[in-house]
Formats: sequence, structure tokens, C-alpha cells
Amino acid sequence: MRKGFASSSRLVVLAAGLFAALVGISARLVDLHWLRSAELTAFVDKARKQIIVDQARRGDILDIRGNRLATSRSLIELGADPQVLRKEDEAKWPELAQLLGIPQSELEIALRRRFALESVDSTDAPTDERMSRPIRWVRLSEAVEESTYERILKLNIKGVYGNRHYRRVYPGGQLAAHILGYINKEGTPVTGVERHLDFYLRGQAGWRESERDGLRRELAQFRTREIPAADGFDVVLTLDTFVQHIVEEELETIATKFRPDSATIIVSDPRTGAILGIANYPTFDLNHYNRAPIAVQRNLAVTDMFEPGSTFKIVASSGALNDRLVTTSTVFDCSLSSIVYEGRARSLPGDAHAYGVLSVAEIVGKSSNRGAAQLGMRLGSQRLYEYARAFGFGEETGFPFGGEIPGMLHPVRAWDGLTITRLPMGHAVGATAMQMHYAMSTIANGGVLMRPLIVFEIRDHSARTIAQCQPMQVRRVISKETATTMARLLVNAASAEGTGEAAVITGYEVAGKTGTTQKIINGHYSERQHVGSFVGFFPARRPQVAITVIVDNGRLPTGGTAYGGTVAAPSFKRIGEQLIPYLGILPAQANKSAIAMGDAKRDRISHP
Amino acid sequence: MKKAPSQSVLWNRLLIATVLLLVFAGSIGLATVWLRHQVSEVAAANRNAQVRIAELDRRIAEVNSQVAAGLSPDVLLRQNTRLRLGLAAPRDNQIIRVDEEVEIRLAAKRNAELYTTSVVPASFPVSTPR
Repeated sequence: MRKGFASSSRLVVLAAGLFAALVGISARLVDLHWLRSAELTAFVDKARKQIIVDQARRGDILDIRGNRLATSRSLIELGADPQVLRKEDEAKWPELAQLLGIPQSELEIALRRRFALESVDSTDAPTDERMSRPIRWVRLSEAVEESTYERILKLNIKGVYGNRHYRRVYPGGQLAAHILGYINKEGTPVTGVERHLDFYLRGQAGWRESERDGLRRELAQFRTREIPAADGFDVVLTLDTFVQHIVEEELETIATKFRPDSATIIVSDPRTGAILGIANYPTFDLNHYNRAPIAVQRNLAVTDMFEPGSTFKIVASSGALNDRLVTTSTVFDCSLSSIVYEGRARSLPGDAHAYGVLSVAEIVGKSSNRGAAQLGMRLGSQRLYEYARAFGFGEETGFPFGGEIPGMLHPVRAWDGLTITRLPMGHAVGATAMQMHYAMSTIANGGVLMRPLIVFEIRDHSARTIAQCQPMQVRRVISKETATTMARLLVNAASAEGTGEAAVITGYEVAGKTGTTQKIINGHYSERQHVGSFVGFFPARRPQVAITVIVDNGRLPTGGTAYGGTVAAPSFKRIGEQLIPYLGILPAQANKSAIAMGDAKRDRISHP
Repeated sequence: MKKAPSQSVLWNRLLIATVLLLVFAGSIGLATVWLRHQVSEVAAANRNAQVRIAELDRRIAEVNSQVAAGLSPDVLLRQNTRLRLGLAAPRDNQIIRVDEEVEIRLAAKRNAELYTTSVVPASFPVSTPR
């Protein structure tokens, strides 16, 4: 019988070897998994496990036509580790300096400094007592574009690298600066839409739990939990870039011609309350917000109040007409200097010109202070106050951001003896430009006060609507008939017979009212400083656009008074003329048949 | 003694079985390693794809912001001046307002053109019977 390979001795040796190996492995396993388990697990966790945060991209802010007003893009903060720079790469430094747009000498100083002096106890210690600390990072540029960064990487300079981060950019610069707001360097939204709608814009960062190898590269196969980042939503505003640009260009014209302290223009659709353009002078560039003083960053249209002056006369006249206390042909003696009201003689304010008997239509058209005061007295203190409140004075309009103030409208019990004669002409009341604009828009909108609409909708990145803001009626202030009558009276005011002749647009019925008030300086009305304004809308019969222009302390080249008809009404006209072709506003004579507009129509279109 | 050979055969068989078992176990181990390698390869490829997508997203965002900056009214006006294009907003008297159904109007115009088009004389060879 042949003896098998496995002799007893061999088997014993083999078994002993296997047993020893098993014992060794077991001992090692016990050591690793039991005795030193906690220590090793902590070490592995620290060395290999990592949580990687995926930053969400902040949503864009768009205008009503989809133009980007604010967007996010990645930029690279470029730096270098002077400890690992190679001698042979120094030849590439000039090209690097050129790509970064900095002088070569500046770059060389930054790269050649390899150690920083560091005091043992204090920075006041003498130089020889200080220790030198190796510099591992020196910043070369705060924001390098992706394309430039790629070219820098191609230079293959060891030790030069960048860290990517998202940066908010505003392609329009100062366009709609007071509305958009900005994100500061810490990434905190400071003002405007950026702050108000931060919840929707910011998105939600994602994260994943993973492991890394010795070279700190992620080992993707060991990903355990993963929450994807959710990018922020886009916010669509009712603003129109083109209209906004017209408004800001007009403000620049005003600033150049009249050198005012400040100026504000608002353009809106009175039927919906949607704001198409809104801007203030002075303004600032959102990409360089840190260069602008805080005072310049305020949205003056909602944060500052002024005495509206004659534009406020729409309140008393609308109220008296709406309560059927007067008709447009009711007359008042505007030559009187005082009148008895509630048993007391009240002095009436003066007029720019001496008037005799004026009808209500003429009072509005010629902007008679005495006439307005008598309309107020006819209405009575309480009703005048109620109408002023109904038109939105003394309360916030509901403009959602920018620190809106409610203005100032005292209750009747706080009035003095003169208030009943001064309030109807727009004194003894503080209004914001936004309040004045929406009060006039009430007449344009058939007597219904609308809430300002600035946010149109919120979309996700696939342009799906998440939320949409609808026009919102605040209240009916006057009847539709009264509004129509007032619009007619305001057409007279903005005509050759009225004070707003400069606002007339040929071929269109413009309704509007000028306002000029003396500024209160040190508690007294100034003879030299005025706030000139024009608030109106057109076409008067089918209003499509309401425009408010307010110029604070305009300085005429001739040195005269900066009346609203002089400094503000021409701006209304210029803006209106540019909006007509853009918004397709039809002239007053338009009807349903084909409209012939000038010779061009006859020349170019002939029916077949 | 007949018991000893049968015992060695048994031991031999057991040894062969053990070796086969080890080979089998080794194969499973190798297969596991290969599978894990494949998993890591796929995971790495996925990660690279994600990195690439993020890079493309960044590029798109950069291009979008450049386009937006290029389309801002101020920039367009400067380009208009720089390139001497002389573009200007239309004046009111240059605008023709069509207040009727555009489709019907265009169709009518087109039909009128069709019916009033003058006939162009044309000649072509005609075969005649011999």
C-alpha cells in the first residue's frame, strides 16, 4: 500500500502552523477590535472620515423680462505657499503678474517673503527676540475669474493655487441699487430684495459623509450619507430693466441740471400697482457697495418724508367731490384772506397769484391754496382726515423692504387752528414719495388704492413658478365717477391753463399735479430751499403709467425757485415719451379701427 | 493491515478538499476584491462626473453673468457709441400701430399679392407626332 503524502509528523506540523496562525490572527483581532478599539476607531475617524459640505448656489434676481439683475458666480481666491515655490518657476512669474493684473515687483515681494517675524511674548519685543514663522499662504488676488484661473494653472507653478467661492455680482452696477440690496463680504444679505427674500434666494447647503485617503482625496466608494444641495430660488421682480434705465438716466439729467440734494422717481402701472422703475439720486454701485456711505444706500422713496405741497390737493378736492359737497363748477372766492370756520376766523394761505372767484376745476388746475383750504373746510376736519388716511397717508403703503416709514398725519384732536387751512394744500403732513405716488395712482385706478407690487414671482431653476404675487387692492377710496372727474380736472392741471404745462405729451392726455413746498430748515420754512414735484399719469382716460418725480432742493442755473413745474414736470414728459413706444401706449384718440399716426402710416401701410 | 491505507487516503482526500476549499475561498476573496475595486472605480467615475458637472455649472453661471453684464443698458449704449452704430429709440411718428387682427391682415395682404402677380410667359419643348 502506497503511503500518503500526509504523514503524521507533517500533519502535526501543518496543524500546529495553522493553529499558531489562527491564534496569532485571533490575538491581533482581539487587540485591534477590543483592547485598542476605542483609540483606533477615534484615530481612523479623525484620519479618514470627513464631512464635505456642498454649498448651494444663491438664486438670481430677475426683472419682469428675465434679465438678470443679480446673480452668483464662482471666483477664485488665489494665493501661494512660498515654502514650496521652485526656483525654476521664477521665469513664469512675469506672466503670472500679467494675468493677475498686478505689478511684477509687487508679486515678487509677496512670493519671496517666506518667513514672518513673530514675537515670543509681545509684538513690542526687539527683532532679535522674535521667532520667525514660516508663511504657508500669501494671498495674491481676492477674485480671479475661472477662465483666468485656468490659464494660471496651465503655467504649472508649484505652490500657486486657489480656493473657489461664490461671489454675488450685479451686472447692471447701480441699476436698481436701492431695490436689490446687496450681500456683504461675510455673505450676509444687508438690504433690499437680497435681505427680504433671503429665505428663498439662499437655498440649502448639502453635505456628504465620506472617507479620504492619505493624500486627502475623497474615497467616493465609502460615501455613507449624502444630502444634495438645494440651490436657491430665482426671484422675479416687476421692475423692467429698460424702464429702470430710463428712470436712472433721467435722475442723472436732473442731477446735472439742478444739483439737488436728492431726487426720486417712481414709475408704476396704476391698474395693478406693479412698479416698473424706481430710483433715487444719489445712488451707488452694488458691486462696490463699500465705497458708498450708508446715507446713500437708503431707498429715499420709502424712508424719507416731505411735505407734499400742492400734489396733496387731490385729497381735499376728491373728498369734497366724492361726498357730493361740491361739483366741478362750484365756485369759491379765492381773494379772501380769512374765513370763519367752526366759529373762529381762520387765516387762509396766500396764493402765488391773486385769484378772484374760482371753480373747483380751476382751483385744481391753477393750484389755488386758498381754494384748496376752502374745499378742506367744506369737507370738515374729520372727513378731511379720513380721506387723507384713506388715500394712504399716515400709514405704510406695504412696500415690503427698505425700512418704510408711515409718514406723519396727525389725528384731528392734535390739530391746531391753522391745520384745517394748511393740510388741504399739503402742509402739516409728512408723506413719502411712495405714498404720494400711490395716492395719485388711486385716481388713475378708478378710486381704488393698490398695494405696491415689486415681487412678481418666485421660480425654481427650471423656471417653474413656486409662488406668485398678485395685485392687491387696499381699499376703495373714492367712487369711480369721482375718480374720472378728478382725472379730468388733473388733465387741466397738466395743460397750458394749469401749472404742469411742461409735462404735456403731444397727442396724449396727461393728468397730473405739480407740487412745490418750502423746506423746513431749523424749524422755519426756507425761502431758498424747495421740494419740487410732479405726480401724474397718462393716458388720462385709460391710465397705463403713473409717474412721480420729486426733486429735493433743486438749484436752478438762473437762481430762481425750483418749482415742481420747472424741475419735475419736464422729467415726467421725457420719461413718458420714452415709455410710449416701449410699452405701446396708445394716444387719446385711439379707437378700435386702424390708427393712423402721422404721415409714416399713410406712406407705409396700404390696405390690400 | 488494511486500515492504514484507507486512513491515508482519507487524510489525502481531506487535504485535497481543504486545498480546494482554500482555493475556493481564495477565489471568493479575489472576486470580492475585484468587485470592491470595480465599486471604487465606478464611485470615482461618478465623483469625477459630479466634479465635471459642477465645473460646467460654474462655467454656465460665469457666461450668464457675462451675458447679463453685456446686455445692461449702459454697456449697450457705450457699444453703440464705440462702434458708431447710430442706433436710437424710435420716435413716435415712426411707429405704426396696427389695431386689427394681424394674422387676418397679413393673410389678406399675401392673398392679394398671389392674385395680382403678373403671369410670366414660359416656353418649353413639346413633342409632336411625326
